[in-house]
Amino acid sequence: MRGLLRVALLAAAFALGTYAFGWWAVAAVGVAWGVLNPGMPRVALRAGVAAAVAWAVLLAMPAVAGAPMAAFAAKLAAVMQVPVWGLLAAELLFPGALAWSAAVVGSLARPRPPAAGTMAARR
Amino acid sequence: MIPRILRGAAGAVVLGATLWVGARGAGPVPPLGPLIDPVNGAWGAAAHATMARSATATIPGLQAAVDVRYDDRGVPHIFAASEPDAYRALGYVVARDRLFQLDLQTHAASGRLTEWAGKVALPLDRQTRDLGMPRAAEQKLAAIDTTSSAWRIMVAFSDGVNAYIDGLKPSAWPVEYRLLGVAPERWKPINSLHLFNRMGWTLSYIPDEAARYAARARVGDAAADALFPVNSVIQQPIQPNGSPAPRFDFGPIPPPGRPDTSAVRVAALLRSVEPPGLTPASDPRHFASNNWAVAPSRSADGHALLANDPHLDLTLPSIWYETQLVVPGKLDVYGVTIPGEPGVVLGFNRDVAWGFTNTGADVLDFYRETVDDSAAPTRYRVDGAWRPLEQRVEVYRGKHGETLATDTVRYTSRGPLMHRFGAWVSMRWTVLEPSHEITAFDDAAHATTAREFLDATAKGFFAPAQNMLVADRHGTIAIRSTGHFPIRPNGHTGLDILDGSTSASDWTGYWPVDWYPQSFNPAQGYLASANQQPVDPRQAHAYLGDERAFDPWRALDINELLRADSSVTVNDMRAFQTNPLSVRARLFLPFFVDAARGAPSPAPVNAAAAVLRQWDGRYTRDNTGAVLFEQAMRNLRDFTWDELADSSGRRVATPSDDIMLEMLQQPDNAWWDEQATPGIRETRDTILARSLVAAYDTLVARLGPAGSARWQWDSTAKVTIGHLMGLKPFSATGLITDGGRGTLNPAPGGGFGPSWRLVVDLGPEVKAWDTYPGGQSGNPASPRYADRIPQWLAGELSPALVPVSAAAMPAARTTATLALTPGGK
Repeated sequence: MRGLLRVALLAAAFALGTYAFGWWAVAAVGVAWGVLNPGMPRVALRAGVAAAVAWAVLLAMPAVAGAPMAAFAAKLAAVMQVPVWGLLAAELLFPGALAWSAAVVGSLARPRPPAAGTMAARR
Repeated sequence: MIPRILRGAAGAVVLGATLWVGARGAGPVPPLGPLIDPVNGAWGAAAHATMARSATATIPGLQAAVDVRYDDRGVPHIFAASEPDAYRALGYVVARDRLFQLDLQTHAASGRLTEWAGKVALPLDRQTRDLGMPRAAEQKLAAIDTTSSAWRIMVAFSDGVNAYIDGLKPSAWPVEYRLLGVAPERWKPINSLHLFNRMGWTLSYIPDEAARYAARARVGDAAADALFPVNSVIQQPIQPNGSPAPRFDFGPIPPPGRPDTSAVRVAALLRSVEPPGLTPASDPRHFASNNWAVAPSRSADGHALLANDPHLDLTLPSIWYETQLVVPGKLDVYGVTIPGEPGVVLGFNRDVAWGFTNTGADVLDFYRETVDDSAAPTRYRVDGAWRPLEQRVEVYRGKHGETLATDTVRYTSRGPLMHRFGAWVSMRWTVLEPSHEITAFDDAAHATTAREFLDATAKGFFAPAQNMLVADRHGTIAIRSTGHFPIRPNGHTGLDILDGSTSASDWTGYWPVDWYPQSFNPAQGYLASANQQPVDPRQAHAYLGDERAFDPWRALDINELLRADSSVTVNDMRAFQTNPLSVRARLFLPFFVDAARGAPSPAPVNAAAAVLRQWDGRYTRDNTGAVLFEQAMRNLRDFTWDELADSSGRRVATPSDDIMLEMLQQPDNAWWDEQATPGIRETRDTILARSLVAAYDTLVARLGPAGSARWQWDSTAKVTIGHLMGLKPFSATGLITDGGRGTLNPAPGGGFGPSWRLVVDLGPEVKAWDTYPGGQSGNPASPRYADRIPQWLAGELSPALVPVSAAAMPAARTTATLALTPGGK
């Protein structure tokens, strides 16, 4: 439950970062996440999933508010010469890959905590 | 377990690659990050598809608050306290709806498309700069008095556009910026001049002077000059000539003669220096515009009526943007502007309505120059003296500011100098001359009578020459072909390449206004222009242009409709705009049918003739005759003009269909004899029957049995309204409507046609109806992007809402408001 909450908070950070600063904020938040949680299991995977969820939510919000997102997706995909599912996949994979890789780099930028910490956690 | 170092390397590689593709793109993929960013990327188009019901903004320099009310057709009505404020607001609202269009048109018109598209756009930019377009705009700007109203208007408009751009969040950028990976550029006053130049390029003379020379090179001077005459052989001019019916000036066409070998080089030279895009190999003239006006004596309600539908490339967003500018006691004008032009181009005010068609005047001449160095000249000789060439270095930049190419464009006093086929040729063109179009439109918007309007435009309007039709509330209807028309030295028509080594070849001035083709309140009670020859050559003061630029067919259509109706209503005016009548078809059909009757092998030709006999010559969407007729006409051109084909079989020039009609009066002319059948002497009827049978066979093979649904006109002739960048998903295709070649609505079968339709009733209170094929918004996700297309296809119009003040704007029809206040940087 705590892990899920942490991913949700991370997704919110990705969403806010994208909203305020644009797409590259995904990389910045991902690196920060990795640096702050170097020893967390599946730290990079969590970042990737959270970023994909964040972008999915950002896309869904205007649609819920009535914006013609679905109709436009078809046109945009056609302009980009990809199927609609391809465009939607890119919307998830791009931030996912960006956040995953940024978290990997971030987590390796700081040494892992000492083993004692791990023992303490086990206790 | 993956070793830490490998994991790190993989992460770094993926991060680097994702950041690279996100920021710079890869191959044809534009920068992916800003494109698919769900907030600030292309999706912003959908998120901002609907205009906010209420908005506020500040514009630096604004003198007082401006109230903008959008009506239920998306038209912004601008209520300002001063005229500069009205133009500031105009700049703002145009940018709000059409920012990318503003920017794209400017990049194209100033030869800077490479800065968005890279090397692929280099040929287009080179054309623009080689023609001297950016230099001309700079010279025009430098010539504008900074205390003049034109300057104030341009700067005010620019302030408005920039206020919008400065307040624009990346999330609201038009989607096309994201697709191109570029950012909006701030507006400069010169951009409006670039756009006027671009319109001049599009409309200012269709100079297919090479066609005549190319024909001379094949069939000799006498035949070529008859096939490509200076004057139209069908005369129903814009300036009424006193004849109630068209006059057919048909004469004998000399047989193909000995080739004029000297003409080959001139034709090649002309083809290479003529502005590109204006010299289609086939008959170019079936595209153009219509306007007509009816005097109170012939209208049902006793008021003057006016209609206009300018034919241009149909695009999404449209070339036009509809608006109203109101400054109490000073200005109250409604109509359409070209995004980027500070003012209403076509429309009406409380007293006067106006509409334009293209004159097609010849305002472009070429001069063969003598230069000091055939490879890299620095001087040219006139009257025995050397003069320095102006040399301008043109630098073409790429997306990231890198230099893609550098050219030197040279200028004589006449204009840009081009090097083609070993010759140096300079060009003089009114489009490149100093002019005052913005002042002209501003003055015209204030006119209270037809005469005032025409005199205002005659003063400042240089190019492209337009047949300006005006009607006023006093009941006056008037037309004047307005622009600046050169006075050429004796004996010259502008159809040849002139000798540049003598100043005796130069223009000696411009026509006085009383030479312009014009008419005020003619006895016939109506006026009509549809790009036909403006003035009967028997009444003309001087050479105005070439038959190739004048199209008689739609003029015959509208004159026939107006002649037949002595009590014209507003609804008649609207219906005429899409009337599928084709006098052209009616004139040609009997020849095909009669030829079929006498054909030796009757079975196939009778079947084909039966289809044509059942057709009423109207281009309705469900008729099955038009498709056969058009195919037969294509064949008739191919079979008849085979002598004009070169050794590769490609026809070097094609006479217009009115010349074909002239030829049909001569059943035994040697032109009917086909080169491919030596020993057999064909006559007119042989070729007509052969054209018809071949057309029938082609269509049966392609569409199935005659009369089937696939023969219906709407199955074969559809309308395409393409997106400005040619993006098909943002275009409207496969559209169906009445009309076709030679009818008042020539849109079916292509992407060119009535770009706006207007009908105005000039009673005590002016009333107007209009539409255009598109919508007010340039955002492909907006419900207003293409919302008017169904109405346009149906030939319907909407009443224009013309409130005198913000308070008079009906609340029920107000869909959004914008409050503009002074402020900002």
